[in-house]
Amino acid sequence: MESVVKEISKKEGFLKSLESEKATVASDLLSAQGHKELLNHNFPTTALEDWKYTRTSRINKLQFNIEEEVQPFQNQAIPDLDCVRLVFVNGVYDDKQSSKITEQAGVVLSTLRQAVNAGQPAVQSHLGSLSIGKSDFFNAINASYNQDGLFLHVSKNVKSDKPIEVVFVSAANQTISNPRNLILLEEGAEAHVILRIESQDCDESLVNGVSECFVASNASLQIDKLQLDSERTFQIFTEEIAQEKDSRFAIRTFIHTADWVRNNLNIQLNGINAETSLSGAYILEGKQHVDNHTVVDHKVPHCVSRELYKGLIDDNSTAVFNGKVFVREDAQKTEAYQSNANILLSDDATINSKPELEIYADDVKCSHGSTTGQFDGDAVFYLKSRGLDTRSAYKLLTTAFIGEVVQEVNSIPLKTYITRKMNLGAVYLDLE
Amino acid sequence: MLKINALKCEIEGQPILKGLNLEIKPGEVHAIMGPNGSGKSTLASVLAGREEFEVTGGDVDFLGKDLLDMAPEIRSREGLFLAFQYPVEIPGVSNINFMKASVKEMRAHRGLDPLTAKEFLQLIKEKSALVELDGRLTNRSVNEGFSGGEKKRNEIFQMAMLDPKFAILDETDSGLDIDALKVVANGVNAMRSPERSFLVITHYQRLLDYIVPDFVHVLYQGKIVKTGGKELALELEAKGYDWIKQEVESTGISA
Repeated sequence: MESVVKEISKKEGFLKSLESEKATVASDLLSAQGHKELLNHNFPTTALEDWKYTRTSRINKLQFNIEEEVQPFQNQAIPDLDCVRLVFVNGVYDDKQSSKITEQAGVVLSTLRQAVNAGQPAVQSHLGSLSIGKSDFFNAINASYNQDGLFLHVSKNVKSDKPIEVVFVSAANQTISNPRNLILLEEGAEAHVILRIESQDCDESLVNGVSECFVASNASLQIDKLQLDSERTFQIFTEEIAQEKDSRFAIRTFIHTADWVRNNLNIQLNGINAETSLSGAYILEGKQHVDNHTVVDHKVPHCVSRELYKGLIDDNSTAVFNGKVFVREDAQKTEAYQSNANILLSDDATINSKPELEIYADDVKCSHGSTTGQFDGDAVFYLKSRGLDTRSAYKLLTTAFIGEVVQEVNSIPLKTYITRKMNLGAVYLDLE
Repeated sequence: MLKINALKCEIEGQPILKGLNLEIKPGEVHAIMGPNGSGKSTLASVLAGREEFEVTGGDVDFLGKDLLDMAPEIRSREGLFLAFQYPVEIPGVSNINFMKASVKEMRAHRGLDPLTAKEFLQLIKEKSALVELDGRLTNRSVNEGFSGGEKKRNEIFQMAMLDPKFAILDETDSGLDIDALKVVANGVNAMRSPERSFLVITHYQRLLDYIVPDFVHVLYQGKIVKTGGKELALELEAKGYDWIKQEVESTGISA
């Protein structure tokens, strides 16, 4: 009884700090749905299975502001990357730092607010449809206070010609931002989106983002999610993906110098012969905490899912990997592969790795592997015996270990950027 | 070149080398033979700087410096090379990048500018030809999926790349068929010079038909108990080690 009272008070305390903020939202309808949804959820604590290894008490203790105006600041672009950029500062669109959007036939690219104001039909038909009804507390908070984000609608058989980079920067102390992205690819369409979530000169801010992505039949969506400059912030970022038949989806997540991160990837494979690939790399130190939760739901036959998460965990840092895979009764001939490999560099580093496979079909290929270890002492000695010092040997082994994920990125400027930000050796790049 | 004086070492409290003396002069090739467990590979490991072995006595002078005082990477940069008995597989690190990092360290230590990409590739081409190492292997992960013979050739390839002053071959011939053995031996012979010395550790006399040593030593119970020319290897091949053991026991050389 006492704990229930406590949880309610936690929730009320958190909501109170938000309700006092008179912030506008992108979609009033989504906001109303979110508020309704919030009635069903308590503030998550480690008592919830889904939050067992990730403490939220630090967030609960804080009072957050919602910003309405852009703070002046300068964000660095990714060198040599030819892309369309949308920059949001504390959740607010900053048109000065964003690219001037050149029109492309068959592509609607704007902010979510612009799309709502323009009465884009896709907003009405799709916004909230992947999250409302099955959201959790933070997802419902995002809906309630949905601020702004990317709106992308690519028509049938059109390829959005440049990568689209969406930057969410926290640049003020104790703010909460609720970025909301909506991506729709019609049949045979293609797009590449880069989500960069970072912080700059700020302390104790919370980014609580949700992306909804609809990938129609034979369409292809790639996302690179970069959480590479995120010190002194809390990040909760969720991607909800619905894939139809013959579609391809890939997301690659890179995390370094992020204090506290919780990522959720929820993939629904609704159409046959769809392929999905989730990969991630994290390098943690200090007291950092990173939690990657993935759910892949194989509902129909002949789909393939691949998951590869690799991490290096040092000092007192903690990583969590929770990979849930459902293979429904109808989903025969499913192939689902999952792998999570971790290297612990200190006695005080922690990994909680939890594969969860629920398989109800009988003719499937499924595998999962979770490994935790140290760098191979024989390999380190071998490298030293060829003149490399400990630091270089570790760097080479780290690059090899994490590089397997970096290699999957389909853009050399992006690969270079990630390599530099994660402090990897650039050795494998010059083979291109 | 290398002077080992009364070297003693142990692992987990178990003495292995019990006062080993050996002097190798520039340009010489020394072979060490001995029954299993006599300490041959331990000697190689101690010289290369493996930390599991605790040196409990003696000293090793390498080109006027205290070898045992140096970290493994410094020994390597100073010109010591160990061809491993069991080369290590390193997934994700390509042979070529491994060598690039390694050659860079060697050259920096010797005060030389790094090679240009073109010079480096030329060097790779030249040295891989020396041991007939397939070009595809240089781009693959270090030793991963290599056959036994390919791993050993890769060791000699690395040796050629790093141009050491003193090389230890730790049972490089074990598990090789004759053709592969010839390739490895040709690679080594091509590198023989008045300035470079070799310590060849082997189980089998066969290798010494191809790499002809100046001296053959027998290691037994952690000490060198007999030294001769290359004919000693033939004698060991014909008679085994029992006569040596008996000789040691009767004269009480053993500690």
